[in-house]
Amino acid sequence: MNQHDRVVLTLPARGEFARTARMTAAELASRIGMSVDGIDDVKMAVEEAFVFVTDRRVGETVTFDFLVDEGIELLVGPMEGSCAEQEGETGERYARFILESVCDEFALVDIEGRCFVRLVKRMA
Amino acid sequence: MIHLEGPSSRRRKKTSRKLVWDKAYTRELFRRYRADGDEAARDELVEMYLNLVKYLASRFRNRGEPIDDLVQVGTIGLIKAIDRFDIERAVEFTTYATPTIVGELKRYFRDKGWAIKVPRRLQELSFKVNQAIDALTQRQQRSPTIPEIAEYLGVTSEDVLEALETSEAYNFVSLESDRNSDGSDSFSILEYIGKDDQLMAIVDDRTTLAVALKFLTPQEQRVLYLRFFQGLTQTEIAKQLDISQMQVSRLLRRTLKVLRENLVSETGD
Repeated sequence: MNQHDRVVLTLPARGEFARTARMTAAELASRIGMSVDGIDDVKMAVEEAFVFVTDRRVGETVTFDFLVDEGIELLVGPMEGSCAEQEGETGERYARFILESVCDEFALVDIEGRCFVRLVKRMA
Repeated sequence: MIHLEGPSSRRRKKTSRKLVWDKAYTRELFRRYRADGDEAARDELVEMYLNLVKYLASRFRNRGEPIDDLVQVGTIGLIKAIDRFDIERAVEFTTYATPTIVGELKRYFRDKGWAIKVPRRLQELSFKVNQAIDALTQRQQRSPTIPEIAEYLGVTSEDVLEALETSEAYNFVSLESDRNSDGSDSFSILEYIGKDDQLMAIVDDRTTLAVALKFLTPQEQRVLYLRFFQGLTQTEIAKQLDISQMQVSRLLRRTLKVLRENLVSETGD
């Protein structure tokens, strides 16, 4: 892949599409040479982020915006309300706990008035 | 009392075998069991209808499980049916028992085997990928990449990715298993809560977490603890528990699903 390739995927916000998101993420992670362990972390992160965003989504879809170079940077959203409103509640603390464990970076970021999950997974 | 009524001609034997039981005697046994608590009558009912179990179990014989195991599982269904059957109902016991026995057999396969229908090609590839990961991890002392697995097996990277995803549909590990690789009995992550203050600080609502953790088996708690509290990789956990990386992956996925569902229901979020 070229440096900073961008892949955008918009899916219906329904559980059965988690597999599509996982498969896409796995394929992108594989392209940059991630190990099976790393790929599984990415798949797990994508699924957790998908569930987290789906529960707080704006509209009927969830968008995955992948930026791929020597790792994967991912934005998942948008969510209703500002990130400040999400922080601290049990679901957010749980998602943070899991996503910080499997990713190198996890944050909730405000973009144009909407909240997104931002994840970074680097090559081991 | 049991008649396995086989048609006389060879040709008919191949196509039709009818199971017939003495209905009046069946009702008599049920009456004795229900009214008098006669355990011998119950045992006789089990004995009597064992052929029904064998017949139903034989319909699942091509799924790779020993027929004796299937008969055992089916017998559990038969005993449940005997204990629940109401003799006042206007149905034959066989009509009542058959779905219970078949249900028990299907549950067995669901718990033990492929949870969803997966093409045989992918099932086989999934097993091979699993073995390849173990072999390559051992050889290279690190988690392999997809192209490495593909080359090892002589398939494409897409095939490997698909097999990995497909493998999520299979339960290699008994969800009830709580034995560790060293043979010791059980593990409870609850024992560790409070000890790892720094790690646990990230999830500060310990009561909620503790409640959710109770829904996990000891093995799931152990995998969760090793991955998220100790920070071990899946490969490291696999080595420590003497299971495959794919088994760890599946356990983690199920564990997170259970945790997520129970955390939400506990907090009403």
